[in-house]
Amino acid sequence: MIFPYKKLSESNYGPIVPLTLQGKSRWILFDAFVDSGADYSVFHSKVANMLGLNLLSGEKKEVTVGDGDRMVVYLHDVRVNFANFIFKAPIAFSETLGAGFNLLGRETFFEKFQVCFNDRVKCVRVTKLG
Amino acid sequence: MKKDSLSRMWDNLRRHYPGRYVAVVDGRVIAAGRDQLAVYRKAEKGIPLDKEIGIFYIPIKNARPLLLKVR
Repeated sequence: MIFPYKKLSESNYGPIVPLTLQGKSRWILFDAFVDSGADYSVFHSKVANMLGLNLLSGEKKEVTVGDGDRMVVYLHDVRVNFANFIFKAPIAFSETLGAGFNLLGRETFFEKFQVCFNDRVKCVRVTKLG
Repeated sequence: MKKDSLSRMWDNLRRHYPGRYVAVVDGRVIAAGRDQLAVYRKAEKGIPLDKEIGIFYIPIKNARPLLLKVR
């Protein structure tokens, strides 16, 4: 499946892909910035609220962000629909994620899919691994 | 909602909702604002549970390049 990059500014495009998360009452579609440098997928804690999850019941972890700061996240196993495949993946929720975008990191996603970035044609190709 | 319909809407969303979150159902924006949870709460009213709601962040017009890393 090929996802065209999305335009972020006049000269900047980013690999932002759609994925659907299963909440207590419904599936909700989000998009996420594919971040191959991130171990975990990180969504804002408000998304946990939308999904009907108890944020603090997740596994508490401290992660390091790009500038060296530490961020507390709570890991929850969430059913996701990504590239037309449904599976469970650990999603880290943070009250302090400030990027605006959700992040799609390597854990589980990069084990299940080959993810190829092509900045020349501005698209990301996602292929399910066997 | 078809995933590619959002791609087609993207330029329009960037023009009208920079720096905001939007809730999209069936290709239509039904709520927008700076708090994604409030946007979702507003959007979910009256939308059947089997209908998908999309919640998307629309970057500001001159968004700075991102340097992301979480370990």
